[in-house]
Amino acid sequence: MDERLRSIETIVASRRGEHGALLSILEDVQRTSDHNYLKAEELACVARALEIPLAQVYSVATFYAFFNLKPQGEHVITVCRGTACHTRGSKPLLDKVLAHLGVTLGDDGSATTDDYQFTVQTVACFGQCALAPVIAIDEVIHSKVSEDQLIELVRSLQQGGQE
Amino acid sequence: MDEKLINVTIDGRKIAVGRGTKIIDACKRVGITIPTLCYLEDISAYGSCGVCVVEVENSPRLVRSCMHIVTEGMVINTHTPRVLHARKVNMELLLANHPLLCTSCERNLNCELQALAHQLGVRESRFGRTKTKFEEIDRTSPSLVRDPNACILCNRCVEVCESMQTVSAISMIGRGLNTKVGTFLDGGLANSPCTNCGQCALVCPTGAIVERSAEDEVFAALSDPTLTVLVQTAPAIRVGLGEAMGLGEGALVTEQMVTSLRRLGFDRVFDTQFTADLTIMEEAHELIDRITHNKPLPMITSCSPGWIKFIETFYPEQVDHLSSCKSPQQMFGAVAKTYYAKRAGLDPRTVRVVSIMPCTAKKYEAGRSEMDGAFKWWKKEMDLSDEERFADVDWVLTTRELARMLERIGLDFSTLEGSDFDDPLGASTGGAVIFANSGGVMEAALRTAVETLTGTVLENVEFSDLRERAGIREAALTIGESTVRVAVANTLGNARVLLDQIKGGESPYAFIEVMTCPDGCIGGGGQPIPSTAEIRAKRIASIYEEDRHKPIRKSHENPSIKELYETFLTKPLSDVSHQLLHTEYTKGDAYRY
Amino acid sequence: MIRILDQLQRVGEESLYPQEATIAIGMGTCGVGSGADVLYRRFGEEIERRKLPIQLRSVGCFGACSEEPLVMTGVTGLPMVLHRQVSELDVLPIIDAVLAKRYHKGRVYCKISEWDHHLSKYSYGTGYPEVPEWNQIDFFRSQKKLVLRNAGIIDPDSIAEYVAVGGYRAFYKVLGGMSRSEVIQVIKDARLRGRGGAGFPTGLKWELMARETEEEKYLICNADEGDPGAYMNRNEMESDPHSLIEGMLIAAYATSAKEGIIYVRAEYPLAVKRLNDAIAAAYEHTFLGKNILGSHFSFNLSVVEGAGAFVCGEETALIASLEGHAGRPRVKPPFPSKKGYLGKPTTINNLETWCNVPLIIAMGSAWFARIGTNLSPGTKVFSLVGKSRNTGLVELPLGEKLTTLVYEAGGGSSNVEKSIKAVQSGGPSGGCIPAHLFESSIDYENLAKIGAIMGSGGMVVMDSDNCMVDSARYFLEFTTAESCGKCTPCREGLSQALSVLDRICEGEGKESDIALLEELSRHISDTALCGLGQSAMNPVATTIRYFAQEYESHIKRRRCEAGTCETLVAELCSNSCPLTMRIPTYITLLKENRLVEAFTSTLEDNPLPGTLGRICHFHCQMRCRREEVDSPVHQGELHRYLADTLYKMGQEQEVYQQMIEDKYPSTGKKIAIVGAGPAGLSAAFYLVRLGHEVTIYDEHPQAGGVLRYGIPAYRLPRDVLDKELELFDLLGVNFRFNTSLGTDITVEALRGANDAVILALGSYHHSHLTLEGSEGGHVIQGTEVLRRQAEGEDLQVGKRVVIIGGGNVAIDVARSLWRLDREVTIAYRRGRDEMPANRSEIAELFAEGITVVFDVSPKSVVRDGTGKVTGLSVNELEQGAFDVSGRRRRIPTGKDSIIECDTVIIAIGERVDSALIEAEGLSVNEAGHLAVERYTYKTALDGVWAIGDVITGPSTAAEAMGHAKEVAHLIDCSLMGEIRFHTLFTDFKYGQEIWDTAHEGRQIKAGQLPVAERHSSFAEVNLGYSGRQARMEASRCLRCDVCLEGEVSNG
Repeated sequence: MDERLRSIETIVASRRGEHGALLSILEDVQRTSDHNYLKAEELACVARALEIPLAQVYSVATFYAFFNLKPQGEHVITVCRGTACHTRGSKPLLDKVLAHLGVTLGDDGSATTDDYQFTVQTVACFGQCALAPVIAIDEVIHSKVSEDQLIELVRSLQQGGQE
Repeated sequence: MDEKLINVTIDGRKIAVGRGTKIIDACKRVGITIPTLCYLEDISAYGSCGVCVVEVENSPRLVRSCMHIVTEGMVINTHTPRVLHARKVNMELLLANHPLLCTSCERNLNCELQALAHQLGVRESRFGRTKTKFEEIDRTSPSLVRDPNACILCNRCVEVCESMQTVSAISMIGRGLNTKVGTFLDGGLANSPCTNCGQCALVCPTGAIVERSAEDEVFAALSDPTLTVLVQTAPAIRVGLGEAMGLGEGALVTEQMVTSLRRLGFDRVFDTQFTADLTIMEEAHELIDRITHNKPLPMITSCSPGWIKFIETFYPEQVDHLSSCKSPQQMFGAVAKTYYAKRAGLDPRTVRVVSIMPCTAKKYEAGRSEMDGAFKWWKKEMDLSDEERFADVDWVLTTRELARMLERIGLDFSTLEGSDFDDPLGASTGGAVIFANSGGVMEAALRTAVETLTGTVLENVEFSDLRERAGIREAALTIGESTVRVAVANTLGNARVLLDQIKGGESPYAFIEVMTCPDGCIGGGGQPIPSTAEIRAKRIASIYEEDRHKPIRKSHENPSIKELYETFLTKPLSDVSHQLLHTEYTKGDAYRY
Repeated sequence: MIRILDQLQRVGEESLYPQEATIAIGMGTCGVGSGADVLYRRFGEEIERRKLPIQLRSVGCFGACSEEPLVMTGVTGLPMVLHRQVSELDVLPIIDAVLAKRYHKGRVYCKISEWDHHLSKYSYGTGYPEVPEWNQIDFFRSQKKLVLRNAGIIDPDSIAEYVAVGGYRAFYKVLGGMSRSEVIQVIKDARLRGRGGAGFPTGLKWELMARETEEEKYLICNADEGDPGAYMNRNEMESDPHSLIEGMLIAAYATSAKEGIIYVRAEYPLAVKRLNDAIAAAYEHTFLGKNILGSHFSFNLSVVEGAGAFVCGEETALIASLEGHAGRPRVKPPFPSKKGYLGKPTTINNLETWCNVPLIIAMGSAWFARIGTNLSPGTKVFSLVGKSRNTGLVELPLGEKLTTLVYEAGGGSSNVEKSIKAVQSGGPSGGCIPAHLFESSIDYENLAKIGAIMGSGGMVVMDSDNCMVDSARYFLEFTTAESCGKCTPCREGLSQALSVLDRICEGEGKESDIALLEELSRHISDTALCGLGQSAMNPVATTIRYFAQEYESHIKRRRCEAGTCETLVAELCSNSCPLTMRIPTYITLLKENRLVEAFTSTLEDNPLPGTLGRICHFHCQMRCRREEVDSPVHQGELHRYLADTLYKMGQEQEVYQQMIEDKYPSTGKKIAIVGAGPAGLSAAFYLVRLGHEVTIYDEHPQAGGVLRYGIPAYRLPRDVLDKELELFDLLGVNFRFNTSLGTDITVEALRGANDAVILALGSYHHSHLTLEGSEGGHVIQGTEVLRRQAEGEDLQVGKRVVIIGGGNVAIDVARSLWRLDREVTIAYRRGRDEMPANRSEIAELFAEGITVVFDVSPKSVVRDGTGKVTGLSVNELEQGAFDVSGRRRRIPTGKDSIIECDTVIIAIGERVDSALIEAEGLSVNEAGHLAVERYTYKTALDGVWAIGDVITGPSTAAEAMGHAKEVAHLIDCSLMGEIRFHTLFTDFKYGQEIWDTAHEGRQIKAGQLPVAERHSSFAEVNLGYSGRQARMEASRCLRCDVCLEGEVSNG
């Protein structure tokens, strides 16, 4: 863990003084984290290194949708809830995949399976509206997805996980 | 500031106001008080509540009078149907997610939300609750209780914590309807850098932040015949309690206060001012010791527990600048349970000390683990086990709590006859009285130190430089050949300025007084609400008035103090003094959570 | 310093216009999402393996997102050719085609012979006359690509190519010889306005900033495109990042800012990467940094990734975010130009605004100001998405009409069966613009006037399947979640409005809710702190303004016609049926071989099952979810099958007997119904069973109304209708035929003698057509022909007939007369796809070989000297701009022609007889229909209700019968003071599992009478299902009605 905190200090050092440093640093820290989330000690480390109050860092981390404060699943399924996707049926897609994985969205708008294999989350809009409905699985965009296709994609990941 | 005046028309009346005036303040000039829940003059202008809106001609939308500055020729209407409706709807919206548990709220009948709802004609909200969950109440702190459910997100507390105190223990967490005021990782105030100053509670318009009440415990102790319950009252209470009992801002009620405490059932009514004088004795000698023995300077006062927590947390490397003296409250507890108990023939285990303090941090201070000098003193003598540990001070009540207790027993405060403190821990000097004001400890200390150092009698005991109403004050005095520079800071933001000077090796001062709260203890977090700059000015004046009328104004001349030294402590900075009246500090960490 | 530009120009031109063949692949996020990256790899491997003389290029997005992936091929001297929807299978054919200096036919989209970058121009060559030029395609026709001038043509990763098409020359011009104030003046003269949505004048903004004397000043590009449904900024960054950099450089020069920040959404990783690469390249070539291009001018530029907060599109929130805080806006003033980032003067502009700047500087303000409108010059890029046939980025001059955007560029609805209802403009802060306002011009002022805003340019097309209440709810859910939480009206107010919408969508709405929402809209807009809150209620306000009826329907009838609101909708087919027939019930009973029960259920829901099973528009099929798999289930054919089978076997009698037995005892209440058409009959059916004494009055000699006198027998055999009418006699409905309202009876008299009166008068009046020469015989109305045919009268129709019109009546007349051996021609003013008749009828019309002349309007009836009709003179029309219905207007060409004939039949529509209605003391509404209170069917007269076409104008039988069902329920309640209607329906129990034997494959077509056998015969054309066919079709049902544990219904 010390190594991790050192690497965070390196991130802070490389971005110190940049415009929008706190956002960029937290983004970097999360991107380099294990389960794509910000841990308490990591947030504290950033606050200490930047000499800004802990509460401010927490305020920022809880304000922006990009930041996770809970570990995310091995595979992240992101269902776009943009207007175009909504008009083209992204809600049923979301319901279907949640039911398939047996989870429900929590207060933070995401759901992670107990085995940390999958996280289902939504995004306000991918900006891929022409391809609606759009989902992303581990950052790969799938366009014009039907419910069956989506479940098929998830199944193949599930089977892949068992091997 | 630009001298040019700005002409505006408010509700048809023309008026000229200074450039940069906010609409809300301009309205005050024509006798219109604009209702608001988030604006607090000189403290916080956030613009969140939306209650202070007014109509400005040629502005497409309603305008927040607390944020907008007048411009030449502006035409303002403050009570059109559109304005009144908008205010009312915003109030209804705020009430929709408010618990509305007024009768069980500490702030019942002293709540801005409640009062404004009444003023705006909102009897019930047409809207239902939309928040799906209730937030956990933060009871971690020894001083304060935060109930986010009652919060209306006015941001005043965040603002005082961040800007005035530079502590930032709390912040706006989350977004949208889930926004709340919270601490890092929702760990609670106790797990934050919170200094327990309670300024947040003072500015809170609702019951979302209140002191942690000890009323019930004290009532229970008072009714327990096996206990001897002593009470001490801090200097600032005599100018705060009257206010809380409805006698007007800054009313001086020393003698009624004493009677009322007796009526409540305290066995002895003593005065923290007694140990304020004692503090001066110890602290002045410590200063002299530091100056003459080349020990770390500047020395900084240590009476204000919020400040202690602040320096321990944010400037741990500077704690050796702190005077090792305990605060008067703690000195009182230690002396009462040793010197007085012995003298009165009381088993210290049956003695309870209750403090009436203008301060929420005092609750925290009394609970600090090292604050059991009396127990340690008796431990050897009586062969006590660790399980029998007792604290020097058992319970701390704020001015507001005492007022509530008096109300509860139905005491008619206004017709109460005055009486005097009990002896011997009730005797005090003018130097002790002014502890209540920022600069007072310094002034009292100088009254004693100068005389001690120079051996001459000080003619003018009032140090006007230290009485100027500024966040940081300075004075230079010539003692013999040398000039000693001293400084006074109130609020932690100002203290930080002086600490940064020390950190940079640029501090020119030998002695610094720091008070956590604006204007000192009279503006403490336990004082009556509201506690505005205007009100505080009246409290300050009453305190100086009390000082002026005290027959003895220098601490070292207090006969009871002299007796204490002669019969018990021997001399300032003696071994017993050190054991009972001095303490050590802990190095903290602002990033601990 | 010009040397750097010249060098880059040479390098750029070499890659942009190479001497060898090129294959360029659109590699925007849309393209990659559709597999462009895979294609790029495959092309690369192939070219590498075979060492082909082909240059493979990666370019940005050309904007036609629904055609992705796009592959552009180029051969020296010939136009570039765009291939669309290219798959891996097309890789080899495309390579082969390029090598042969051709194109791949199977995927060809359009060609580009020359391209105007505005700062440069290039001719690729001429050729391929058979391939349409790009701007001849509807999607591009009206576009003017200024901001998108380089998108899809150049390689966004190549600064050299940007320079080669004229990039950085505008900046060079500024640096080399313009003063700061001159630059600002040009922008002011161009009247460029902020493209972020609010439309603030850019030049003025810069001027305010330039006036500030602080040393430290900042420029910020707002690319935090958070509007769901908008992605133009993403594409602009991905396709042409240097034009942004150049725009900011020019502004930096003009305002003397030293630092620039581009604030981009973290959700746009590719855009971030391309920007960072472009900035690095610009630094490398000294376009950025210290002493730019050797001058004294310095400017630094960096990218900051926003972390997912919509509110950060608001400038003060964006600044707070950059400063390391939560993005909570503050009150303005002070404006950022005075106190912005870090308290310093700051200019924030939307990305698209910046991209316009180099063009304006290079081409001059006068050039720019000529494009678009006077108040809003220039273009705006729109992202056209939703239920649009074409989706993608459309850059139009401001002031263009929505019809151009939606119908021309968008190609109308993505499903021809469904009409476009509205467009949501400007995302969640925008408003819903209903189709009838599509003539509106798209500019800042006009959009604001109709309650929408330009916003960032998102345009989401919605059709009849989109519930407007749900869509308002959706946007509000978004803004409520994205509210920063600071101010009361936004944080609390939006959540309250959302909870109101939630309850409306769940069928728990109160009648006062609409007023409450309107009050909240006004209040939040009036007192919210920032733009997000002030505009957040726009979608609610506009949907209430334009679609109040949908709100009312949810509240008063607990119905969501679009079938979107889950709580209100069980299965989509039943929900869309005007009669709310229990469709899965009869399908399942049929599948379970319980034919009598299946028939009973259809009869309970619809007293004319065999009839409706033939002539319905089948609203159910249009909403069948099976359509997503292959094609909808033919529910109508199934219920016709049930009726036919029962009648064939005579089993209907036992059902009838049961129904008669179950009749409620007499209530002593008398009800008069005027009109024996489908509406009147249905009302009678339910009311008589409830024990009321019902009498139907009709001017015709027999019952059936339009079913009998308007629909030819080959569509609805008379024996079917007669069979179904038997039941009415059995149930004891009284009929008074040959009795006309106004002459034989009056409403007043009926009211006096009855407890309730229902007017189901239909709409039989002919629409008026003034036609020179129509007096003098042999000009006749279409409905009159159908009536005479039905009553066996002499048709008085000659041998050669022209029918004017394109609706169902025109087609019915044409096909009837064709059967009677007439020579028939239909003259219709539009095209085949625009004919308002049923799709199946149109298909049969053509199958029967009837001549239709399109794009003509009747001018006069031509008569010879004796007065005999010899022909119809028509104006030939050509296609013009789209109208609000999505059809192209027809413009006279001035050319006339004559269609020879001896009879002219007019069939251009029917209307309600408003004179009769007024004479009877009832009121007529604006549309000319009998006015009733919506959803209660109450007329202005107490005790008189009205239903069917008379209150709606010509509509469908099913809709009229739907009214009848509702009014029967309402009248029974009002007469009896209790709810009894639901007791008329049997609760059938049947299987609740989804069949694992669901039949695969497309809809089963019923047999048709061969065309050869149709002449001189009115035998039914549609032969219906066989038993086997019916059971197979039933098995295709996906059983949306079955609710599985843990699953959401309709989901």
